[in-house]
Amino acid sequence: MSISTSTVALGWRSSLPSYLPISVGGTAAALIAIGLVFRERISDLALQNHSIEYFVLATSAVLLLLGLRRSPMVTNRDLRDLFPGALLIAIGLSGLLLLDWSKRPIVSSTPVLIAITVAGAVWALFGFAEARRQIFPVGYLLCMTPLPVLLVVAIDLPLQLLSTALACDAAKLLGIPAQRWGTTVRLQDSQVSLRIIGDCNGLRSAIAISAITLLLGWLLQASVTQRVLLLGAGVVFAYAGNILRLTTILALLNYFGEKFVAVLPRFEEWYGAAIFAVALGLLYLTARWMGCTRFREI
Amino acid sequence: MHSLPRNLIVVTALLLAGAVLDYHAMAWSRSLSPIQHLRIHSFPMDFSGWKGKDYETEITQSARAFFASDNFIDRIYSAPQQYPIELVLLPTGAGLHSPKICARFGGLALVSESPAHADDPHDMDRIVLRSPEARNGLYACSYYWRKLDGVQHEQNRLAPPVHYADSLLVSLCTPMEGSDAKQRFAHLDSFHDQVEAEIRSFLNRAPAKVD
Repeated sequence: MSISTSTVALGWRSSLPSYLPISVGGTAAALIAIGLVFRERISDLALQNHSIEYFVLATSAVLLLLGLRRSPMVTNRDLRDLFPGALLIAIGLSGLLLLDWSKRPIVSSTPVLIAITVAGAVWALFGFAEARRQIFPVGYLLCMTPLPVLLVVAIDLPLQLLSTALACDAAKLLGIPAQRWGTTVRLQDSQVSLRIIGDCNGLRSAIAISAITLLLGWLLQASVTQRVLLLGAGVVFAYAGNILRLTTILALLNYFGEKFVAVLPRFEEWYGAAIFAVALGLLYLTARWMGCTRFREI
Repeated sequence: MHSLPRNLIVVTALLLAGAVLDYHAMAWSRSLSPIQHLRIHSFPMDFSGWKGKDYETEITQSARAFFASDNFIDRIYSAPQQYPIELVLLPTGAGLHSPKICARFGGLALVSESPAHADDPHDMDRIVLRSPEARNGLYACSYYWRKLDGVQHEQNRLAPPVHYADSLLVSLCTPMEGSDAKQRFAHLDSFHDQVEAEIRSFLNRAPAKVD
Protein backbone atom coordinates (compact mmCIF):
# COMPACT_ATOMS: atom_id res chain seq x y z
CA MET A 1 0.00 0.00 0.00
CA SER A 2 1.48 3.33 -0.92
CA ILE A 3 1.01 6.40 1.19
CA SER A 4 0.41 9.45 -0.91
CA THR A 5 -0.32 12.03 1.71
CA SER A 6 1.34 13.16 4.87
CA THR A 7 -1.80 14.14 6.65
CA VAL A 8 -2.95 11.97 9.46
CA ALA A 9 -5.93 9.90 8.60
CA LEU A 10 -7.84 10.94 11.66
CA GLY A 11 -10.76 12.08 9.63
CA TRP A 12 -10.12 15.64 10.82
CA ARG A 13 -10.89 18.37 8.40
CA SER A 14 -10.07 21.94 9.17
CA SER A 15 -12.59 24.67 8.80
CA LEU A 16 -9.96 26.85 7.15
CA PRO A 17 -11.32 28.30 3.94
CA SER A 18 -9.40 27.10 0.92
CA TYR A 19 -8.24 30.63 -0.06
CA LEU A 20 -6.21 30.82 3.17
CA PRO A 21 -2.93 28.93 2.62
CA ILE A 22 -2.56 26.14 5.15
CA SER A 23 0.97 27.36 5.92
CA VAL A 24 -0.41 30.77 7.00
CA GLY A 25 -3.27 29.23 9.00
CA GLY A 26 -0.93 26.71 10.61
CA THR A 27 1.70 29.35 11.51
CA ALA A 28 -1.00 31.63 12.91
CA ALA A 29 -2.45 28.79 15.01
CA ALA A 30 0.99 27.90 16.42
CA LEU A 31 1.78 31.57 17.17
CA ILE A 32 -1.58 32.09 18.88
CA ALA A 33 -0.98 28.96 20.99
CA ILE A 34 2.51 30.22 21.92
CA GLY A 35 1.01 33.63 22.82
CA LEU A 36 -1.48 31.82 25.05
CA VAL A 37 1.27 29.90 26.83
CA PHE A 38 3.36 33.02 27.48
CA ARG A 39 0.56 35.60 27.88
CA GLU A 40 1.23 36.41 31.54
CA ARG A 41 4.99 36.67 31.10
CA ILE A 42 4.59 38.89 28.06
CA SER A 43 2.35 41.31 29.94
CA ASP A 44 4.85 41.36 32.85
CA LEU A 45 7.66 42.00 30.42
CA ALA A 46 5.84 44.80 28.62
CA LEU A 47 5.15 46.58 31.92
CA GLN A 48 8.85 46.99 32.54
CA ASN A 49 9.87 48.58 29.29
CA HIS A 50 6.65 49.95 27.88
CA SER A 51 5.71 49.06 24.35
CA ILE A 52 8.88 47.94 22.52
CA GLU A 53 8.19 44.33 23.56
CA TYR A 54 4.83 44.39 21.78
CA PHE A 55 6.49 45.89 18.69
CA VAL A 56 9.13 43.14 18.66
CA LEU A 57 6.50 40.43 19.16
CA ALA A 58 4.23 41.77 16.42
CA THR A 59 7.14 42.28 14.01
CA SER A 60 8.46 38.78 14.58
CA ALA A 61 4.98 37.27 14.06
CA VAL A 62 4.38 39.28 10.84
CA LEU A 63 7.82 38.34 9.45
CA LEU A 64 7.16 34.67 10.18
CA LEU A 65 3.70 34.77 8.60
CA LEU A 66 5.08 36.52 5.51
CA GLY A 67 8.23 34.39 5.31
CA LEU A 68 6.38 31.10 5.63
CA ARG A 69 3.33 31.94 3.53
CA ARG A 70 4.61 30.10 0.45
CA SER A 71 6.53 27.37 2.25
CA PRO A 72 5.03 23.90 2.17
CA MET A 73 4.36 22.32 5.52
CA VAL A 74 6.25 19.14 6.33
CA THR A 75 4.78 16.25 4.45
CA ASN A 76 7.02 13.37 5.40
CA ARG A 77 5.41 10.65 7.40
CA ASP A 78 8.57 9.82 9.27
CA LEU A 79 9.33 11.73 12.42
CA ARG A 80 12.49 13.42 11.13
CA ASP A 81 11.25 16.97 11.75
CA LEU A 82 8.59 16.35 14.37
CA PHE A 83 10.92 14.94 17.01
CA PRO A 84 13.56 17.71 17.14
CA GLY A 85 10.89 20.41 16.77
CA ALA A 86 8.76 18.92 19.54
CA LEU A 87 11.89 18.53 21.66
CA LEU A 88 12.63 22.26 21.37
CA ILE A 89 9.01 23.07 22.27
CA ALA A 90 9.28 20.72 25.25
CA ILE A 91 12.49 22.46 26.36
CA GLY A 92 10.76 25.88 26.17
CA LEU A 93 7.72 24.66 28.12
CA SER A 94 9.85 22.80 30.70
CA GLY A 95 11.81 25.99 31.32
CA LEU A 96 8.54 27.76 31.96
CA LEU A 97 7.32 25.13 34.42
CA LEU A 98 10.71 25.05 36.13
CA LEU A 99 10.46 28.80 36.76
CA ASP A 100 6.94 28.33 38.18
CA TRP A 101 8.26 25.62 40.46
CA SER A 102 11.26 27.59 41.65
CA LYS A 103 9.12 30.75 42.13
CA ARG A 104 11.88 32.82 40.57
CA PRO A 105 11.10 35.99 38.69
CA ILE A 106 10.55 35.00 35.15
CA VAL A 107 10.76 38.13 33.13
CA SER A 108 14.35 38.12 31.91
CA SER A 109 14.34 34.54 30.62
CA THR A 110 10.95 34.83 28.89
CA PRO A 111 12.23 35.93 25.44
CA VAL A 112 14.73 33.03 25.32
CA LEU A 113 11.99 30.53 26.14
CA ILE A 114 9.63 32.09 23.57
CA ALA A 115 12.34 31.99 20.89
CA ILE A 116 13.14 28.31 21.63
CA THR A 117 9.45 27.41 21.46
CA VAL A 118 8.86 29.34 18.23
CA ALA A 119 11.97 27.78 16.64
CA GLY A 120 10.68 24.33 17.63
CA ALA A 121 7.25 25.03 16.14
CA VAL A 122 8.75 26.27 12.84
CA TRP A 123 11.07 23.24 12.66
CA ALA A 124 8.27 20.76 13.36
CA LEU A 125 5.86 22.40 10.90
CA PHE A 126 8.19 23.39 8.06
CA GLY A 127 11.40 21.40 8.49
CA PHE A 128 14.97 22.26 9.43
CA ALA A 129 15.91 24.15 6.26
CA GLU A 130 12.98 26.56 6.66
CA ALA A 131 13.72 26.97 10.39
CA ARG A 132 17.25 28.06 9.43
CA ARG A 133 15.89 30.59 6.93
CA GLN A 134 13.67 32.08 9.64
CA ILE A 135 16.52 32.59 12.07
CA PHE A 136 16.19 36.41 12.09
CA PRO A 137 12.42 36.59 12.82
CA VAL A 138 12.89 34.01 15.59
CA GLY A 139 16.10 35.53 16.98
CA TYR A 140 14.54 39.01 16.86
CA LEU A 141 12.39 37.93 19.81
CA LEU A 142 15.51 38.18 21.97
CA CYS A 143 15.27 41.97 21.60
CA MET A 144 12.57 41.74 24.28
CA THR A 145 15.19 40.74 26.86
CA PRO A 146 15.42 43.43 29.54
CA LEU A 147 18.81 44.78 30.54
CA PRO A 148 20.11 43.19 33.76
CA VAL A 149 18.87 45.11 36.81
CA LEU A 150 22.33 45.69 38.20
CA LEU A 151 23.47 47.20 34.89
CA VAL A 152 20.40 49.47 34.75
CA VAL A 153 21.05 50.53 38.34
CA ALA A 154 24.66 51.31 37.46
CA ILE A 155 23.85 53.48 34.42
CA ASP A 156 20.38 54.89 35.14
CA LEU A 157 21.32 57.67 37.54
CA PRO A 158 24.46 58.81 35.64
CA LEU A 159 22.35 59.01 32.46
CA GLN A 160 19.68 60.93 34.37
CA LEU A 161 22.31 63.42 35.56
CA LEU A 162 23.82 63.68 32.06
CA SER A 163 20.42 64.33 30.43
CA THR A 164 19.64 66.98 33.05
CA ALA A 165 23.01 68.70 32.57
CA LEU A 166 22.78 68.69 28.75
CA ALA A 167 19.15 69.91 28.73
CA CYS A 168 20.04 72.66 31.21
CA ASP A 169 23.07 73.76 29.15
CA ALA A 170 21.00 73.74 25.93
CA ALA A 171 18.34 75.86 27.64
CA LYS A 172 21.00 78.35 28.77
CA LEU A 173 22.30 78.56 25.17
CA LEU A 174 18.76 79.56 24.14
CA GLY A 175 18.85 82.35 26.73
CA ILE A 176 16.62 80.61 29.27
CA PRO A 177 17.78 81.34 32.83
CA ALA A 178 18.06 77.82 34.23
CA GLN A 179 20.00 76.28 37.06
CA ARG A 180 20.61 72.60 37.73
CA TRP A 181 20.41 70.90 41.14
CA GLY A 182 21.12 67.21 40.75
CA THR A 183 18.36 65.89 38.52
CA THR A 184 16.22 69.02 38.82
CA VAL A 185 16.33 72.13 36.65
CA ARG A 186 15.09 75.34 38.26
CA LEU A 187 13.84 78.13 36.02
CA GLN A 188 14.68 81.50 37.51
CA ASP A 189 11.80 83.35 35.81
CA SER A 190 9.24 80.77 36.80
CA GLN A 191 7.91 79.12 39.94
CA VAL A 192 8.10 75.80 38.17
CA SER A 193 11.08 73.45 38.19
CA LEU A 194 11.53 70.30 36.16
CA ARG A 195 12.77 67.06 37.69
CA ILE A 196 14.21 64.57 35.22
CA ILE A 197 13.10 61.14 36.46
CA GLY A 198 14.65 57.81 35.48
CA ASP A 199 12.14 57.27 32.64
CA CYS A 200 13.36 60.48 30.95
CA ASN A 201 17.06 59.67 30.77
CA GLY A 202 16.93 58.43 27.18
CA LEU A 203 17.76 54.79 28.00
CA ARG A 204 14.31 53.51 27.04
CA SER A 205 14.23 55.31 23.71
CA ALA A 206 17.79 54.11 22.98
CA ILE A 207 16.70 50.50 23.62
CA ALA A 208 13.62 50.97 21.41
CA ILE A 209 15.58 52.54 18.56
CA SER A 210 18.25 49.81 18.80
CA ALA A 211 15.58 47.12 18.27
CA ILE A 212 14.19 49.03 15.28
CA THR A 213 17.71 49.56 13.88
CA LEU A 214 18.41 45.82 13.97
CA LEU A 215 15.23 45.26 11.99
CA LEU A 216 16.07 48.01 9.50
CA GLY A 217 19.59 46.62 8.99
CA TRP A 218 18.17 43.17 8.24
CA LEU A 219 15.44 44.51 5.94
CA LEU A 220 17.98 46.62 4.01
CA GLN A 221 20.44 43.70 3.80
CA ALA A 222 23.17 45.76 5.46
CA SER A 223 26.59 44.25 6.12
CA VAL A 224 27.73 43.62 9.70
CA THR A 225 29.81 46.83 9.71
CA GLN A 226 26.90 48.84 8.35
CA ARG A 227 24.60 47.38 11.00
CA VAL A 228 27.03 48.30 13.79
CA LEU A 229 27.36 51.87 12.43
CA LEU A 230 23.58 52.13 12.10
CA LEU A 231 23.17 50.97 15.69
CA GLY A 232 25.58 53.68 16.87
CA ALA A 233 23.75 56.31 14.81
CA GLY A 234 20.41 55.14 16.22
CA VAL A 235 21.60 55.52 19.82
CA VAL A 236 22.99 59.01 19.06
CA PHE A 237 19.67 60.07 17.43
CA ALA A 238 17.71 58.70 20.40
CA TYR A 239 19.77 60.68 22.93
CA ALA A 240 19.80 63.85 20.82
CA GLY A 241 16.02 63.54 20.49
CA ASN A 242 15.70 63.17 24.24
CA ILE A 243 17.76 66.31 24.93
CA LEU A 244 15.71 68.22 22.32
CA ARG A 245 12.50 67.06 24.02
CA LEU A 246 13.69 68.12 27.48
CA THR A 247 14.99 71.47 26.22
CA THR A 248 11.69 72.22 24.47
CA ILE A 249 9.81 71.42 27.67
CA LEU A 250 12.10 73.74 29.64
CA ALA A 251 11.54 76.53 27.10
CA LEU A 252 7.76 76.12 27.22
CA LEU A 253 7.76 75.94 31.02
CA ASN A 254 9.81 79.13 31.10
CA TYR A 255 7.39 81.02 28.83
CA PHE A 256 4.04 79.62 29.95
CA GLY A 257 4.76 78.48 33.54
CA GLU A 258 1.86 76.83 35.39
CA LYS A 259 -0.39 77.00 32.32
CA PHE A 260 1.92 74.60 30.49
CA VAL A 261 2.13 72.18 33.44
CA ALA A 262 -1.55 71.31 32.92
CA VAL A 263 -0.92 70.06 29.38
CA LEU A 264 2.58 68.68 29.96
CA PRO A 265 1.68 64.94 30.15
CA ARG A 266 -0.23 65.02 26.85
CA PHE A 267 2.40 67.22 25.22
CA GLU A 268 5.18 64.85 26.33
CA GLU A 269 3.34 61.90 24.85
CA TRP A 270 2.75 63.43 21.41
CA TYR A 271 5.95 65.42 21.15
CA GLY A 272 8.00 62.41 22.28
CA ALA A 273 6.35 60.25 19.60
CA ALA A 274 6.96 62.93 16.93
CA ILE A 275 10.65 63.22 17.87
CA PHE A 276 10.99 59.45 17.83
CA ALA A 277 9.46 59.35 14.33
CA VAL A 278 11.93 62.03 13.16
CA ALA A 279 14.82 59.98 14.65
CA LEU A 280 13.61 56.94 12.69
CA GLY A 281 13.43 59.03 9.49
CA LEU A 282 17.00 60.21 10.05
CA LEU A 283 18.07 56.63 10.67
CA TYR A 284 16.59 55.53 7.35
CA LEU A 285 18.32 58.41 5.53
CA THR A 286 21.61 57.44 7.20
CA ALA A 287 21.15 53.86 6.00
CA ARG A 288 20.55 55.07 2.45
CA TRP A 289 23.58 57.37 2.69
CA MET A 290 25.61 54.32 3.73
CA GLY A 291 24.50 52.54 0.58
CA CYS A 292 21.75 50.32 2.00
CA THR A 293 19.04 50.93 -0.57
CA ARG A 294 17.59 47.54 -1.48
CA PHE A 295 14.89 46.04 0.71
CA ARG A 296 14.99 42.31 1.29
CA GLU A 297 12.30 40.28 -0.39
CA ILE A 298 10.38 38.38 2.23
CA MET B 1 -11.12 22.50 2.58
CA HIS B 2 -7.64 21.50 3.86
CA SER B 3 -6.70 18.47 5.85
CA LEU B 4 -4.75 19.32 9.00
CA PRO B 5 -1.17 18.05 8.83
CA ARG B 6 -0.16 15.70 11.60
CA ASN B 7 2.68 17.90 12.81
CA LEU B 8 0.35 20.89 13.19
CA ILE B 9 -2.01 18.86 15.35
CA VAL B 10 0.86 17.60 17.52
CA VAL B 11 2.48 21.05 17.88
CA THR B 12 -0.80 22.79 18.73
CA ALA B 13 -1.78 20.06 21.19
CA LEU B 14 1.64 20.27 22.87
CA LEU B 15 1.40 24.04 23.22
CA LEU B 16 -2.16 23.98 24.54
CA ALA B 17 -1.19 21.31 27.06
CA GLY B 18 1.71 23.57 28.06
CA ALA B 19 -0.69 26.53 28.54
CA VAL B 20 -2.99 24.46 30.80
CA LEU B 21 -0.06 23.05 32.82
CA ASP B 22 1.48 26.49 33.21
CA TYR B 23 -1.85 27.98 34.35
CA HIS B 24 -2.09 25.41 37.14
CA ALA B 25 1.61 25.65 38.00
CA MET B 26 1.32 29.44 38.41
CA ALA B 27 -1.82 29.08 40.56
CA TRP B 28 0.05 26.58 42.74
CA SER B 29 3.08 28.85 42.92
CA ARG B 30 0.89 31.77 44.02
CA SER B 31 -0.78 29.67 46.70
CA LEU B 32 2.68 29.39 48.29
CA SER B 33 2.88 33.19 48.71
CA PRO B 34 -0.09 34.05 50.95
CA ILE B 35 1.39 37.44 51.87
CA GLN B 36 0.95 38.55 48.29
CA HIS B 37 -2.81 38.21 48.75
CA LEU B 38 -3.15 40.45 51.79
CA ARG B 39 -5.14 43.63 51.28
CA ILE B 40 -2.43 46.03 52.41
CA HIS B 41 -4.62 49.15 52.26
CA SER B 42 -6.51 47.82 55.29
CA PHE B 43 -3.41 48.32 57.45
CA PRO B 44 -4.51 50.66 60.31
CA MET B 45 -4.34 54.39 59.60
CA ASP B 46 -4.08 55.21 63.32
CA PHE B 47 -2.25 53.37 66.07
CA SER B 48 -0.42 54.24 69.31
CA GLY B 49 -0.97 57.97 68.80
CA TRP B 50 0.31 57.98 65.19
CA LYS B 51 -1.98 59.21 62.41
CA GLY B 52 -1.40 58.10 58.83
CA LYS B 53 -1.97 59.88 55.54
CA ASP B 54 -1.55 58.19 52.16
CA TYR B 55 1.14 59.81 50.13
CA GLU B 56 1.17 60.15 46.34
CA THR B 57 4.45 60.88 44.59
CA GLU B 58 5.83 60.19 41.15
CA ILE B 59 7.75 57.29 42.69
CA THR B 60 4.45 55.87 44.00
CA GLN B 61 2.89 56.31 40.56
CA SER B 62 5.75 54.63 38.76
CA ALA B 63 5.83 51.84 41.38
CA ARG B 64 2.13 51.27 40.68
CA ALA B 65 2.82 51.01 36.96
CA PHE B 66 5.95 48.90 37.48
CA PHE B 67 4.31 46.32 39.74
CA ALA B 68 0.96 46.55 37.90
CA SER B 69 -0.60 46.62 41.34
CA ASP B 70 -2.09 49.09 43.75
CA ASN B 71 -1.66 46.67 46.62
CA PHE B 72 0.94 48.60 48.62
CA ILE B 73 0.98 51.62 50.90
CA ASP B 74 3.27 54.63 50.98
CA ARG B 75 1.98 56.45 54.06
CA ILE B 76 3.19 59.33 56.21
CA TYR B 77 2.58 58.79 59.93
CA SER B 78 2.73 61.79 62.22
CA ALA B 79 2.34 62.32 65.95
CA PRO B 80 2.60 65.41 68.17
CA GLN B 81 6.21 66.42 68.97
CA GLN B 82 7.55 63.75 66.59
CA TYR B 83 9.23 63.86 63.21
CA PRO B 84 6.95 62.39 60.51
CA ILE B 85 7.81 58.89 59.32
CA GLU B 86 7.14 57.47 55.90
CA LEU B 87 6.02 53.83 56.05
CA VAL B 88 6.09 51.65 52.93
CA LEU B 89 4.49 48.20 53.10
CA LEU B 90 4.84 46.22 49.89
CA PRO B 91 4.01 42.51 49.59
CA THR B 92 6.43 40.72 47.30
CA GLY B 93 5.16 37.51 45.80
CA ALA B 94 7.74 36.91 43.11
CA GLY B 95 10.38 39.18 44.62
CA LEU B 96 11.65 42.70 44.83
CA HIS B 97 14.84 44.70 44.60
CA SER B 98 16.55 45.86 47.73
CA PRO B 99 15.62 49.46 48.68
CA LYS B 100 19.30 50.28 48.10
CA ILE B 101 18.65 49.55 44.44
CA CYS B 102 15.16 51.08 44.26
CA ALA B 103 16.43 54.32 45.82
CA ARG B 104 18.82 54.82 42.92
CA PHE B 105 15.97 54.33 40.47
CA GLY B 106 14.19 57.15 42.29
CA GLY B 107 17.20 59.45 41.87
CA LEU B 108 18.40 59.14 45.48
CA ALA B 109 22.05 58.60 46.37
CA LEU B 110 23.17 56.14 49.03
CA VAL B 111 25.24 58.11 51.56
CA SER B 112 25.91 55.43 54.15
CA GLU B 113 24.70 52.02 55.18
CA SER B 114 24.77 49.83 58.24
CA PRO B 115 23.63 46.23 57.81
CA ALA B 116 21.43 44.51 60.38
CA HIS B 117 22.74 41.69 62.56
CA ALA B 118 21.47 38.64 60.71
CA ASP B 119 20.56 36.76 63.92
CA ASP B 120 18.66 39.64 65.58
CA PRO B 121 15.00 39.74 64.50
CA HIS B 122 14.55 43.18 66.10
CA ASP B 123 17.36 44.73 64.09
CA MET B 124 16.95 46.48 60.72
CA ASP B 125 19.16 47.43 57.78
CA ARG B 126 19.89 51.15 58.01
CA ILE B 127 20.74 53.49 55.17
CA VAL B 128 21.07 57.24 54.73
CA LEU B 129 19.86 58.57 51.38
CA ARG B 130 20.35 61.95 49.76
CA SER B 131 17.83 63.55 47.45
CA PRO B 132 19.88 65.66 45.00
CA GLU B 133 17.54 68.59 44.56
CA ALA B 134 16.62 69.63 48.10
CA ARG B 135 18.82 71.62 50.44
CA ASN B 136 17.97 69.41 53.44
CA GLY B 137 17.70 66.32 51.33
CA LEU B 138 19.05 63.68 53.73
CA TYR B 139 16.80 60.82 54.83
CA ALA B 140 17.39 58.07 57.38
CA CYS B 141 15.75 54.80 56.39
CA SER B 142 15.44 51.40 58.04
CA TYR B 143 14.00 48.33 56.38
CA TYR B 144 13.50 44.59 56.61
CA TRP B 145 11.47 41.80 55.03
CA ARG B 146 8.64 40.47 57.19
CA LYS B 147 7.67 36.87 56.57
CA LEU B 148 4.76 35.04 58.17
CA ASP B 149 7.14 33.24 60.50
CA GLY B 150 9.58 36.04 61.28
CA VAL B 151 11.96 38.60 59.86
CA GLN B 152 14.47 38.31 57.02
CA HIS B 153 17.41 40.67 56.69
CA GLU B 154 19.30 41.61 53.60
CA GLN B 155 22.26 39.33 53.07
CA ASN B 156 25.52 41.16 53.55
CA ARG B 157 27.14 40.90 50.14
CA LEU B 158 28.91 43.25 47.80
CA ALA B 159 25.86 43.33 45.53
CA PRO B 160 22.66 42.79 47.52
CA PRO B 161 20.39 40.04 46.20
CA VAL B 162 17.82 41.37 43.83
CA HIS B 163 14.81 39.39 45.00
CA TYR B 164 13.16 38.61 48.32
CA ALA B 165 10.17 36.38 47.62
CA ASP B 166 7.03 35.72 49.72
CA SER B 167 7.48 38.57 52.15
CA LEU B 168 6.33 42.04 53.09
CA LEU B 169 8.87 44.81 52.61
CA VAL B 170 8.69 47.14 55.62
CA SER B 171 10.51 50.42 55.04
CA LEU B 172 10.62 53.38 57.44
CA CYS B 173 12.09 56.75 56.45
CA THR B 174 12.36 60.12 58.16
CA PRO B 175 14.04 63.39 57.15
CA MET B 176 17.33 64.13 58.91
CA GLU B 177 16.82 67.91 58.95
CA GLY B 178 20.11 68.69 60.68
CA SER B 179 19.92 65.95 63.31
CA ASP B 180 22.61 63.34 63.48
CA ALA B 181 21.94 59.91 62.05
CA LYS B 182 22.06 58.20 65.45
CA GLN B 183 19.15 60.31 66.74
CA ARG B 184 17.03 59.74 63.67
CA PHE B 185 17.62 55.97 63.70
CA ALA B 186 16.71 55.86 67.41
CA HIS B 187 13.48 57.64 66.44
CA LEU B 188 12.84 55.02 63.74
CA ASP B 189 13.59 52.21 66.22
CA SER B 190 10.98 53.53 68.59
CA PHE B 191 8.40 53.73 65.77
CA HIS B 192 9.46 50.26 64.62
CA ASP B 193 8.51 48.71 67.99
CA GLN B 194 4.99 50.09 67.61
CA VAL B 195 4.52 49.37 63.92
CA GLU B 196 5.93 45.84 64.20
CA ALA B 197 3.27 44.99 66.79
CA GLU B 198 0.62 46.26 64.35
CA ILE B 199 2.15 44.28 61.47
CA ARG B 200 2.22 41.12 63.55
CA SER B 201 -1.45 41.39 64.44
CA PHE B 202 -2.27 42.40 60.83
CA LEU B 203 -0.60 39.25 59.51
CA ASN B 204 -2.21 37.05 62.16
CA ARG B 205 -5.70 38.30 61.42
CA ALA B 206 -7.82 36.24 59.01
CA PRO B 207 -6.20 37.35 55.76
CA ALA B 208 -8.34 39.74 53.75
CA LYS B 209 -7.74 38.70 50.20
CA VAL B 210 -7.33 41.03 47.30
CA ASP B 211 -9.73 40.41 44.46
